[in-house]
Amino acid sequence: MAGGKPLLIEVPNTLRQKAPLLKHGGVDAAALLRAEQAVAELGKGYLEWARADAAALEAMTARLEASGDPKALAEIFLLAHDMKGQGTTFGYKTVTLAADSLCRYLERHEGEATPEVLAATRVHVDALTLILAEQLADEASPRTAALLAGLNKVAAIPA
Amino acid sequence: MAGYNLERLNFLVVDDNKHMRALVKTILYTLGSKNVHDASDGADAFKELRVFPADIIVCDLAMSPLDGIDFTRMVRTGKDSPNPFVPIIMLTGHTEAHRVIEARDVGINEFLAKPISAKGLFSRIKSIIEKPRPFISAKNYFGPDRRRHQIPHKGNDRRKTAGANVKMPSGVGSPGMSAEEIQSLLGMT
Repeated sequence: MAGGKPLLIEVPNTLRQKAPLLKHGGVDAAALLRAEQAVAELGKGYLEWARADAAALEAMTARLEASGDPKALAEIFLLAHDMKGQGTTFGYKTVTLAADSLCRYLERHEGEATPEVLAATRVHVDALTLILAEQLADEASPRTAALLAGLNKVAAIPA
Repeated sequence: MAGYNLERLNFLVVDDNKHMRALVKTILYTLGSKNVHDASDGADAFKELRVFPADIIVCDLAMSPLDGIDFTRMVRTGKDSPNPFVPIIMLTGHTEAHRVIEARDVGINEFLAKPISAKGLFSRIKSIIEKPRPFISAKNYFGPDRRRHQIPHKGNDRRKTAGANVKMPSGVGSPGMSAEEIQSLLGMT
């Protein structure tokens, strides 16, 4: 990085030549619609792989409970973060909300493998497993809303 | 209806989650891209970049062992970076401002918050094609100009324009490079 005055560098825009604006074709509304349809098609496998992710989360949590190793919390965070990112994309905002609650909680208690943190992690992992097992996609249904509200309460308890 | 043809653009997708990689690749292929490579973390992506001249990188923020911020830092300022100027779109599920600010300050061009949609991804690609920002090489920053809007500045603008004649202060390598090396990368020599 420069040590003197900040330097402004005009970078030639080669992308304009490589990605020309076509009068017909190219990325138009129809192409975007096709892409959204392709995403929806990909989402047909979502429940299967999300359940596999939940099973992996469960195994990580079991290891955490057995070892108390704070490194396991970082693994759990990364996987929960992935689940959070995918949930809403594939119609499961409930997964996003539950995983987000877990991520926020683990961020606040980074590296703290205390009994309270382990208990809160367990509750979230069980909730994610339940959501996927019972296909609780509607975050507004009374049962799911109560579950998510419960997770937020657990996450708010100081460790 | 007119639209950009993405067929000749090289994309590198970096995400440690295979489903997210599949999602981004599916969108890019459906939008007409032919050359989409992927990598499962920042270290792999950096290796890939040495053999694959990516035009745009789509990268996740939270990855292990090398996350999106570390990867971007390597691309922008690593002495052995194949292309410090390559545009980077960062996918983020983080809503905390400090992560986004941290990512901005290592030289991210565009952010895309999850959930990812084709429309959202294309709008970032379009922005990179249509509104490229100049790069700033400063004491603590190397990356696209963080000023996105042309707002009149009341004070002196301390930034020196390099334009087609890049002049680096003596003893300075922006990302560890000489002015000649930067000019060469920009195709000015």
